[in-house]
Amino acid sequence: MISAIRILVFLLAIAGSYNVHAAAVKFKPLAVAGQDSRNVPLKSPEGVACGPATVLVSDTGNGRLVRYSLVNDDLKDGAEIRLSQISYPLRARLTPKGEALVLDGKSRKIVRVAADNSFAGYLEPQNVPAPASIVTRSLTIDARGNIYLVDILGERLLVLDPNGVFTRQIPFPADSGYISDVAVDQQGAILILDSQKDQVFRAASNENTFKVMAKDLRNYLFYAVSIETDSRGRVYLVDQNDNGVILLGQDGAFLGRYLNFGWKPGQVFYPAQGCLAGNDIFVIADRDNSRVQLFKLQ
Amino acid sequence: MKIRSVTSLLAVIVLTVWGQCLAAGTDQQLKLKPGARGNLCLNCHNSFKEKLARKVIHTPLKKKDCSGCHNPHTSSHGKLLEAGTKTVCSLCHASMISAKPRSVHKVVADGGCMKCHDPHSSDNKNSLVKDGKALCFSCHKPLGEALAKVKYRHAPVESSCLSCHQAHASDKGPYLLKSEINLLCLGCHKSDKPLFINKHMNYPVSQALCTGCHNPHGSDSPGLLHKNVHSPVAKRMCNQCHMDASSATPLKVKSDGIGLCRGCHNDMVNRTFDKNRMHWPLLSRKGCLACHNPHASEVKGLLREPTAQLCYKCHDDTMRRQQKNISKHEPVVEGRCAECHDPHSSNFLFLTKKDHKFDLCVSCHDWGRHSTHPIGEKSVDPRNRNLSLGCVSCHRSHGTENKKLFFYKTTTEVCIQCHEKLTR
Repeated sequence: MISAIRILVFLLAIAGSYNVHAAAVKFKPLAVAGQDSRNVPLKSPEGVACGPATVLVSDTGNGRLVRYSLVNDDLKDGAEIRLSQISYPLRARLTPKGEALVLDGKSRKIVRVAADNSFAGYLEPQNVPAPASIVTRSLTIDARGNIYLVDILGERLLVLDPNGVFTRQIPFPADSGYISDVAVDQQGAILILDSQKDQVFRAASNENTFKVMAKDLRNYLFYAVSIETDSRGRVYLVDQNDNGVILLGQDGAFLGRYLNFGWKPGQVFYPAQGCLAGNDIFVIADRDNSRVQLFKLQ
Repeated sequence: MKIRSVTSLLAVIVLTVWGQCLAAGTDQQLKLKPGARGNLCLNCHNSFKEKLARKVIHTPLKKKDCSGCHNPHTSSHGKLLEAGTKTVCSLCHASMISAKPRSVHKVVADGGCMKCHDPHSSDNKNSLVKDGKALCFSCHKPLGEALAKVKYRHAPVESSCLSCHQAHASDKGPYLLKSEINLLCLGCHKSDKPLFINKHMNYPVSQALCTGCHNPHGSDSPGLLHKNVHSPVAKRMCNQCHMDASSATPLKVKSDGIGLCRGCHNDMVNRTFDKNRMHWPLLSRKGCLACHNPHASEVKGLLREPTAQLCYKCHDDTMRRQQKNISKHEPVVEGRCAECHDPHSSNFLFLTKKDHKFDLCVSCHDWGRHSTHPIGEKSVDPRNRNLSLGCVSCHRSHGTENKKLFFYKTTTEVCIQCHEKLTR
């Protein structure tokens, strides 16, 4: 009898960990990765980059990267990548060729990490119009390998080709607060996240200005730090300070809020970045839980 | 001329008689006793004799028409008012706020007319509850107290706040000012006067913001400079940061972002950049100026505003959450953000001065060192074996909706998060 009650409580806890809204998806906990292949625990990871069969983790507190293989909806291996050029990795993204671009918090440089986990140089943007200096807060890469940088010094979004050559820039909207992340949808539209004013801006692939896509999100989130989009144009915002994920429709409408605060599997604690592996697995750098979690989107 | 006078006199007589007939008709309908109108209320409300002796009497009371604002029988509002205190005035008085105001006095927007005006009578103009500055300083106490102590007071402030500010709303300036800040200042302080030019080292400061350096109310410094003045400003070495006064762009700074400050504050900048985590605004276009005023400030460290106000401008979510909290951490309540956080950079999460899980807490809370509960790096959190137990395993450092900064409502709930076997 007691066992049955425990099972019931457990099931309820799991159900509670992903709030069921009348929204388009459900977040089903799939797997938790808290260690590398040598059982060394992750420490305050702040970045995750998703590839077709790979998840690269910025293991920030340990000053290293950990590359996992995505096998049967689970993370395997966990090869440590230690490079002298990366002492405090923050955001990470993978190129279509399997190379990784990693933003280092201390040097604030973007480090190229080859598919064989070796240092492949720094991303040094070329032909960038004034101001020539760049301070990258975040980055993303589209399906063709073009690189998008959130430049908080120049207050602009920079677009570079895969070799790092400048192709265009879009100024941040005049009424924006603090732009912290960028995503690109399959149509090439650029989305930027304004963490301070709780809004999302969008610029179509042929536009040179950002327009408001979603505003007044303060009723749904506290402080979002990461933005991701899926093949259907839906937008995922990781709300770091209120421990959840907000889902927006392609028109910016609020669709639902998922996950809860906590330490147990399925719960998150100051999540720092999210990425989509394929179109149905959402990977979260669960920073203050020192782990990475996978959720199946159903 | 004669015909006009006679016509006017006749009109007055007709209107008076008509009014009395109307009143008499109403009195009959209301079955008021003869002569009761206007006196009935005062028969009981004796204190109004004193109110009626004051210099300024609200028109309805002057006419002894108490029912202009009050219902003599019943009301859904306090004091038998015809409408709530926030709206009763607007029954007669049109809005004091225009369609597109630049700034609005909060008390007016909130419908708090009676905070400044006495609805019955007063010895002050416009039926104000207090006269002149005393009225303003009854709410703006810190300003009043500060001005009472300062050596130098701006002359218009001595006479009236309304020299520069509107009482209700302003269409032309921020802070209820009668116009834009500089326009207002330059209205009296002519920028083409040799003394003005000389004092400002030939820089065209009329294009800058006067309040960037000057306190428009009063100060202990000559020239009404703010309490804390940046050294180059105090030494009148404007060209240390700005282009030369004779250049084409004299107000332009010599370098953007943090580069400008680095010239003098090199050691501090180096220490800041040597840490793992930077406060991102420091790296933005505004650089140091995101938080600091480069000229002068009332706040120590040349901060643009007191710490809490400054931090909450961006970290609004922290303030929103704080408002919900029942148990609150004292430094947060008092706006001492920098007590735990380093606003420039840190090697720790949340830009804390020490590790926020334990070390930071025990720098004030000594009991943390002799707690009987396992705590510290070697104590594994049973909920998540990647974590060690720290103060933040049970408490949220800023506060929570629960007692003792607990994450959960009851002590039992807190304990059973780990001690699951003890769950009843």
